[in-house]
Order: sequence, then structure tokens, then C-alpha cells
Amino acid sequence: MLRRNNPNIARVSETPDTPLIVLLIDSDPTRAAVVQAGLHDRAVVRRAEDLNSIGLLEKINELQPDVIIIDCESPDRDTIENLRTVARENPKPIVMFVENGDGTLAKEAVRAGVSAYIVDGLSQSRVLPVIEIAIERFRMVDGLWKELKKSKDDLETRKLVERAKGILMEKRHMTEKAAYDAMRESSMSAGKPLKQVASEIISIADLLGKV
Amino acid sequence: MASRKVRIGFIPLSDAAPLAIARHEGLFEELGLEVTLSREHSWARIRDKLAIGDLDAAHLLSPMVVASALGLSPMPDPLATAFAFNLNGNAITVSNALFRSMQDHDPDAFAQRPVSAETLRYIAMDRLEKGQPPLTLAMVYPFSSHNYLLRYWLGAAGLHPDRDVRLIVVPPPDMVRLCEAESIDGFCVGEPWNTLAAHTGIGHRIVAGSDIWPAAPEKVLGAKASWIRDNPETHLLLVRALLRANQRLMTDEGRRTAASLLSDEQYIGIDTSHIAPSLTGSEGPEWCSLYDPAFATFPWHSKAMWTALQMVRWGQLTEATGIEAAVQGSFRTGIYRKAAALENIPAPLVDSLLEGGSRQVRELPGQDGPITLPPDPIMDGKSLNPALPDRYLEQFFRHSIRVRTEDLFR
Repeated sequence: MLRRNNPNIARVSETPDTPLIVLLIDSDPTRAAVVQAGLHDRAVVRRAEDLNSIGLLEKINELQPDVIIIDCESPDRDTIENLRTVARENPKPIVMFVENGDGTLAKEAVRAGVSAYIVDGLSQSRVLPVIEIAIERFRMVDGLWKELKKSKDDLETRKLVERAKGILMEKRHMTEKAAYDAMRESSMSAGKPLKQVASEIISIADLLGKV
Repeated sequence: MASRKVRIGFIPLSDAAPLAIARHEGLFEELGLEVTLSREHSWARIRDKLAIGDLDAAHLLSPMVVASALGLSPMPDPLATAFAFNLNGNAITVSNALFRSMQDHDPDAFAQRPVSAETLRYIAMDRLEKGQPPLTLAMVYPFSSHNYLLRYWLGAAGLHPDRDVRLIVVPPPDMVRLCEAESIDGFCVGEPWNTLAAHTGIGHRIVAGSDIWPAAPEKVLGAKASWIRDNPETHLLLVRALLRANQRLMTDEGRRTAASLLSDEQYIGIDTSHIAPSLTGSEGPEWCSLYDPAFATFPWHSKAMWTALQMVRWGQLTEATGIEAAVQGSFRTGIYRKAAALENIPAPLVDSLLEGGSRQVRELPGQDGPITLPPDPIMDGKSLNPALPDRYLEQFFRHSIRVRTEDLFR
């Protein structure tokens, strides 16, 4: 159902010549075998069972996996979680193994920025759909986050420009249009974003206001 | 009395001592509690288990409660605490190779106390200029005193922790091994892992957390706010049992007992000789936590506020959510005072203090008599006046602030 509605997902799994790169952080060989079998011609699965922390970070850097699968009991949970808080520039979807029947944890995990979960006892045929869902959900959330950040930036720029314009109009007796044009010109000739020009005007006005 | 069952999670560290003492000396049973302790591998896992009710309460990093109250932690139901296990107890350890480079650069690098990160700045810059891999330092969790103290120490010497070095997260038991393999150049971790590195000749403990700030918040007994609401009597009994455990830790004999208990495989599983110094102070008091129930166990609002401001300083908090309300809602001083009164332990009457600015002993009015606080000067003198939190962040030259600070305390 998901696949039919979403062209991106179809592209991910139906182009066998660009396989997914999956990094599997799990010490349980049976589970790993299920994942490997379920993905066999769709993904390159690399296991990291004998690595921890720094080795793992290097592996992630080197592989640039499309998705990371980790056991919820793994001691490397905190290392992976830190990636989420500091490495905003290059986040990865994370899929977590949880023990059977742990449905609440699974739901929490999804909120925790883990993109999907695999409950123990998963059949081979379900592995790929779960990973596709993870990637799609991750793209959606990540996209929303970026959009939110952009609209916040826009709003902040607008507020700063309004304030700076007010200062120029009051102190320099300029019309609104003249004030705005002056800022635009300064922005273009100095190669600085409008937001920066506006905040410089505000801080200079603050400074002069104090002396 | 029917026994009340409680599951408590912990991470293998010296400051799990109150739990070990309470468990083995029957302090839980004498209050009608049947406690199961569960050793966990990661802070993320402890948080998940609290979220789903697999654990009722846990030995938690104090900043995890702050992060959860501020909505930074992915939990629908926030965490709260009414009891702190301890203050301090962390240290910064560097590899032998980094120790030698610091000495080569400046023979007096280790003459002062606290040792400054100034020398490290030259080494970090040198590596960046030569295109070598950056200086890599490890800590234990993004929301931890280890992260904030390490950043504080680096920042005080003009190093930018997000730009000049690489900070990574490593589980505490792995620190020593990775340092030996020279995969990391140093780390900030809780005891006994610094002492273990020193005893095994793998690294040098160069700065104690208490050298950076002698009253830094550390572990707390955390639970979901909803669990505390639904189990108020059980929670109060837990706090009372742990207050008794901390009183036991005020004696030499109690501390020695804790060290030998913790060496057992079910807790830390390393030799007592490596654990004892962080409890008995046999290698210097600076490597020990403060467990004094007169002041170290109180859930100070001002310490939680200090923590929240570090989250702002380092760009973790990016929105002006009500810090004061979050702190007041999650650090339950009222419950603490109730438990302390039942145990005849003096509890402070105020929720907040000037943090990091006192060179003298202070006396505070307490519930059952005055409370004496030790001096707590923070290394760079930048104290926090909890009445004027909006001015605090203006003091710092090194930061990654991503929010308009004037919006924080409207």
C-alpha cells in the first residue's frame, strides 16, 4: 500500500543495481541471518558485531549507510543516539530490534527518532518493507525538520529587517522604501545576507543609544 | 505490611553505591520495599525501559531529567526526581601519548590545579593545521555532566568543543580499552574508570570534576512523573531508604563496604582495589563524590537550571521553552523535604542557591537546623545567580548558542 502511494519508495527497492547499504549492529547471528536473507539482492548488509563506539563511528563514516539497524540492548545505543543530537548535518534512519511483545517500546522507539523497529521473530519477507518504511518515515521527519527550520529563519529575518527599517526611518528620516532599498544595496555590495545587515544596524543603534 | 515491589535500573559506576548498600544492608526491606536491581548497558536503554514501565525508577544522569522536562528527550511522559545520589565523581583522563605531548609542549602543564586545557589547545590546533585527525575526546552521553564539564574545561581555555576537537560518546566500560588502543586521546567519565586507567598505567587522571566545579550535579533517582504521581508512598519510601544509604556512606566503614559490594560481577565486576579510591578517598578526596545527605542529595533547582543553561550554551536547547517551569516541575523539593523530615535529616528551606560563586563555607537555614555548605568556586569564576539566569550566558566567549537568549526568561 505504502509502496503504491509513494514513488520514492518504489525507486529505492525496485532498482536492484543501486542496492541499499545497511549497517547491522547486533550480536545475535540468527537475527542477523534473517535480515541478510530478507535483503539479499536489495542491499549490502555489513555487520558490526565486533566493533564498538569509535570503530563503529569510523565504519559509519566509511560506509555512509542508508540505514542503521541496532539491537535495543546494545551497549552502543548511547554512541548512536549521540549521532542524532550532534550530527544534524548527516543523520541516518535507525531501525531497532526489540524483544517480542514489546509493543510499547516499539512505539516509543519510533518517537525516539528511531525510524522503525523489528520485533523478534520477524519473517524474512517482512524485512525489506520494514526498512523501506524506516527510510520513508525518516525522510518525512527530516524534511519537516528542515522545512520548519527554514520557515523559522525566514520569520526571524523578517522581524530583524522590520526593526532595522524602523531604526533607519526614525534616525535617518528615511521613507520605508528608501530604508529597505538602502539595506538591500548594502547587502548586495557587501555580499552579506540581508539578515546580517539588519542585525548589524540594530546592534550599532543599540551601541550608539547607550553612549 | 504488604511489600511494595520496585524495579530499579543502574549503570555500573561507583556512584551506584547507595543502591548496593541499601540492597545488601536491608535498608529497602526495613521500609517494606522489595527492590530488584537491574544492571543496564546504556543510558538510552534505561530511559526506554522507564518509558515503557520495564523499570519503575533508575540511577540516572541528572541532565537526563532536565532534558526530558525540556522536551529534548524523546519521551511522551517526562521524568522527575526528588533525590540526588551525589555531587561530583567524574574526572578527565588522557592517554599516555597525549600526556607526553602536553608535557613536551609545556613542562609546567601539570603544575597548576586545576590543570588548564591551554596546552591542549596548542596540540589540538597543531593537529588541525597539519591535517592530522582531530584530538578525539570521549564522554558518556549527550545529556550528562561529563559532557558539560568537559566542554566547560575546554571552553575556559578558549577551545571550541564543537570545532577544535572531536567529542564522541563511548560507554564507560569501553573508555579504558579505547584509550589503550589510542583510538581516543582522552575521556571524561565517572569512577571507577579513571582510577582503573591510572592503576593499569593506561592513562593519567589530570583533572577531577570537582576541580572544575566542586558542587556539580551528578546522578539522581529518576522516575516518570506519572509513576511518582501514581505511587507516592512507594516513591517516598524509596527516597527514605536511599537517604539512609547515603548516611551509611558518611562513615569510612560504609564506604569500604560499598567498594567491596560494587566489585561483584552483578555491579561493576572489577577488583575492589580499583573501586575503593573513589569511595574512601585513599588517593585524594577529589576523586570521590559527595554523598552528604545534608546538601548533596537535595534536588536543587539552581543546579538543574545550571544544567539547562549548559544545554543552551552548547546548542542542545534550540527553543525558548520555559526553563524555570520545567525545572520546578521535575525537581521535587517538596517530596525530598518530606522524606528528610521523616528521617530527621536537615533539609534546605530554599530551592535555589548561588551556584559556583562561593569561596567560603555558607550556612543555610534548614528544616531541622542550619545546613553548612562547602565552598564551591567554579574554575573560571562564572557563577550562576538563579535569580538572574538571563545574564548568565552573556559571560561566555566560547559557545554554540542557537536560540535568542533574551527569549529564554520572559
